[in-house]
Amino acid sequence: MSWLPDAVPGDTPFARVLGLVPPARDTFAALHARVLAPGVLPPRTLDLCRRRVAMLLGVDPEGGLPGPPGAAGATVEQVAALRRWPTAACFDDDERACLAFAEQYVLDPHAVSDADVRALEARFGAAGVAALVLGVAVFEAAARFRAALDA
Amino acid sequence: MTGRLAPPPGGTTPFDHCPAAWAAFNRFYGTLWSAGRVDQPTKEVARLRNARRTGCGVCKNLRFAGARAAGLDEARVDLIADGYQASALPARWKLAIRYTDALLALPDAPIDPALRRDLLAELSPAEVVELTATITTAIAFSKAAVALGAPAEMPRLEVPTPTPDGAVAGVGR
Repeated sequence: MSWLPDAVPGDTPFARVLGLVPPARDTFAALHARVLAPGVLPPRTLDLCRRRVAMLLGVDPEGGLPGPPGAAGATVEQVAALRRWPTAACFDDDERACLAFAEQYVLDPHAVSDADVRALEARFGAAGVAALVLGVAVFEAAARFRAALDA
Repeated sequence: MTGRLAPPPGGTTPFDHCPAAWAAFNRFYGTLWSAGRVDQPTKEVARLRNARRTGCGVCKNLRFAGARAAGLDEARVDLIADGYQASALPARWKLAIRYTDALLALPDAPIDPALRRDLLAELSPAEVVELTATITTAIAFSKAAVALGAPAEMPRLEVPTPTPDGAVAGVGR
C-alpha cells in the first residue's frame, strides 16, 4: 500500500497512484502498451524483460500495468523459472540475449560495450535494438516509480 | 550522438527506428514536463542531479529552456553537486536533489519516512506522483544514452522543454 495519503480508483496500486495525475496515467499506459505491441521483437520477449526488470527493482511483476494479452506473454513455465534464465531450458537464445541486456542495463549501463550492442544488432537488427532499449527503459521507469511509492 | 547504434536514414536518434513507440514516449515525457503542476526548475534540478550521478554526458549538458527562463541559471546549476545541503539553493530544490538520490538508491534503500514527510509537506500527493514519474523516467532514459554509447562530455546545449507533440532533444542521441 502506497505511503501517499490520496489515491483514485484503479485495479492495481500503480493505477491508483499514477491515476492522481490523469494525463500522465493515460500517456504512460499508451506508451507501455506500445512497447509491448507486436513488432520487431516478440511481445513474449519484452514481457520477460518487463518481469525481470521489476524483480531487479524489488516490485511484483504482477502489480503494475498488464503484460501482453493472452498467450502472447511469458509462459507459466518461464515466469516460474525467470530467476534461472541463463540455464533454464524454457528460454531460447534470443530471449536470453535480451534478458542479459536488460539486467546489465538496470544494474550498470556503463558496462554495456560496443561488442554487446553489435551482437544485439546482428541478432535483432537496429530496429530490434532500439525496441529493446526503449522497452527496458520504460519498464525500469515504471518499476522504479512503483518501488518509490510502494505502488 | 550515440556511437553504438545509428539512427535510420532521415532520423535523428536511434529511437527513430521505432517511430510509434518513440512518439508515445515523447507524449508521456512531454506531458510530464509541459502539462504538469510541478514547476520546471524543480524538475530540472532533479533531472540534472540524476544526469551527474548516472554519468550521462548528454543529459548533464542539456538545459531545458523552461527551467532556465524560470530562474535556474548556470550559477545555481553548479551547486547541484556534493555538498548541496550547505549551498544557497532553495529548500525545495534541495529536497528534489535528496529525493533523486533516494530514487537512485532503490531498491537497496526504501524511501525513508523523514523524506516522505518532507515531500508531503512541500508537495501535494499528485505533485509527488508527477515529480516521481519525471525523475524515474529521467533515470531510466539517461541509462539509454549511456548504454548506446553517448559521449562522456559534450558542449552545453539549451533545448526547448519537452512537449507532448515534440521530440526530446538529446535523449538516446
